[in-house]
Amino acid sequence: MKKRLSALFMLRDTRLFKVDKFNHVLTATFLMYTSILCAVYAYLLFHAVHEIENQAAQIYLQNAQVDVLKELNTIELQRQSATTVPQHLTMLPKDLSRVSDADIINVLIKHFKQSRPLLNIYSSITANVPAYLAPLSVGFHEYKSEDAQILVSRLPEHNITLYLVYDETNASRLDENTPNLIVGLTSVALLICFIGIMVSIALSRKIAEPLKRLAQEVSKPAPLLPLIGHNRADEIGTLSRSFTASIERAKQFLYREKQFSRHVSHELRTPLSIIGNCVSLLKLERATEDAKATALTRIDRATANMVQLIETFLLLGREQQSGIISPINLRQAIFAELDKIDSSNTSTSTLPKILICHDGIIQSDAALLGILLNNLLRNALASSNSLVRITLSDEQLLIDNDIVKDHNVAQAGFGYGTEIINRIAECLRCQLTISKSADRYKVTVNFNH
Amino acid sequence: MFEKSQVLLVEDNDELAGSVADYLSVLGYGVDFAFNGAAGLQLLESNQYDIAIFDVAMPKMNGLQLCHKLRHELFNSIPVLFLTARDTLEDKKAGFQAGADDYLVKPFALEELHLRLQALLSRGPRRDIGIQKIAGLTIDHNQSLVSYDGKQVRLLSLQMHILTILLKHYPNVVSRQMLEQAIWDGMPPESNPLRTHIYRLRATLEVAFEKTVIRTVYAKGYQIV
Repeated sequence: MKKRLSALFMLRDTRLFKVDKFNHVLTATFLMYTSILCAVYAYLLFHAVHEIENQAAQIYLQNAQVDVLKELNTIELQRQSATTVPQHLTMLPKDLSRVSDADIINVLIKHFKQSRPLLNIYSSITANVPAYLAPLSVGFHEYKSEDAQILVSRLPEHNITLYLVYDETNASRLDENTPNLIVGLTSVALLICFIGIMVSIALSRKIAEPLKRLAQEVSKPAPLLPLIGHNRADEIGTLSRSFTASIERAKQFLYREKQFSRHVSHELRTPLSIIGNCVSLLKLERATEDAKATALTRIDRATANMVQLIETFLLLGREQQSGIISPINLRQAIFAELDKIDSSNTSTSTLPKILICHDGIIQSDAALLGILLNNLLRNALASSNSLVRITLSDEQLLIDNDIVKDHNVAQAGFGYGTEIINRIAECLRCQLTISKSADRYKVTVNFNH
Repeated sequence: MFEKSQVLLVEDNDELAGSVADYLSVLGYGVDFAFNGAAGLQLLESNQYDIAIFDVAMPKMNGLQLCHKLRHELFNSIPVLFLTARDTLEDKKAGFQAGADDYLVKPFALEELHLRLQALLSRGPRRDIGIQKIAGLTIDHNQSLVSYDGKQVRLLSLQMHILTILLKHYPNVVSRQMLEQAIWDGMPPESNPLRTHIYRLRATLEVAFEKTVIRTVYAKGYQIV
């Protein structure tokens, strides 16, 4: 059972492989676009966070600079006024006039090390200044190899350059909201990615679904027409309509082929029946000599008829008709066929009335043309009750006859049958048009088609 | 046994019809030809046949239409055999629905046709054909019986013919000329017997059914009421 099920699924998968592949390709495309979108978003997010960190570091450094300068100014004022040293700078001697600038800076560095542990302060007059700070000018700098933000400021009165250095690796701790911001933005990015993936899958399914259903319908042995999506205004509708039209054309073609085969068999059955009947008669002991002679003559005629039929069907069956093309006088051909009908068919009582008859010369296969004309004329004469009009003008022949009242023309299979006649017309490259009304039947043959 | 049985063969192919007719003639049948349905109908209207053979595809009127008219307009119950190249089940169904008794597909063995004709002739006319109910009357065309309200009367052949014509045009009025045309092909005897025949038919029906069946419409003709 499992094997059968898996085989069934395999069959289904094989049948729908292309559509599923289309679905997968579509999903992959959407996912790729979503990924690119997410990558761009992440890149922008990274830069945004980095910028925020920089801004935060700069604000921090500016604040630190203000504090440093404020302390320096305080010390300077006290030095000038000889007042007492501020309590938080107890590391300085009582007499500030003997204290050098370097000592003051060192005291400040130690002081800020305590109050701002993340900040490193260097100056041009103190020791251990990192080499990368020396060439920096006044202002903000980012030193990526150390991942540090630097603020360089100049104390013109003391000819001192101050370097406030902040390690960026700790930037997220600058502001309490920054980590939350980063977490929030990352969550949004992940959410967008997830939604993008879901939308990609849903969209690809939605787009592929009608196509999948159409493919399922088309792959059925006998699909119902019109196919799914026939009324859609998009490309799937166009596909559906095209498939529907193609299937209908194929069905019509098959129907025509069946009808043709049926008519061929019908045409061959008649002479076969005649031959069989005559043989039966010849076997009868009671049959007179006259009857036997008539039977033999009938066999001869039926055989000739069969030979002609088979040759016609062989010619029609060939892919390339290679009949002998010769110039034919249409008027003479029509008269010749009328003579044949007149001599062979005693049952035809309606006389044709030829209205206009030009001497049209056409290039055609004489044998096939004869068969075509014979069938059309014979049919018109046999179906008419009173008048058959034959009008020949240049290369167009019009055969127009009345119809017996209550006679169903559609069932009037006579002569070679419509399918065979149409085939002969196609083979001769002439256009055959049949029009019916309540009381008349018109056949137009355009030989110059 | 079936010698001199009259056969009507309606077939558009004269060679095929000739070969069948020659064979049947040797066996002793009397064979009439018609090369289209319309001609076949004319022969059936004017002649008596023991059996009919119809082709299906024919000019002017096809075999199915001919058979339908035979059964429903002429109320003719003779056996009908279709002889055709149409071999599908649908074709055969259409043939039997039109009123056929048998169906033989071409090509066929004439011996088989002969055997089938024998079988059909031995059964005789169909019993289900020829009963017509119209204007309250029930007419059995096979036995020339007319019934009304439980009463029954048998008509003579010519009376039945006149009644059939009047019923065919019911409820319209049928003129004297139409009746004379149908009965005597437009050439009635000089004694002008139509009025007499109508009088006798009317009297027969009125006495039997105690009601007026045929009404004379002044200057127009006769009408079934």
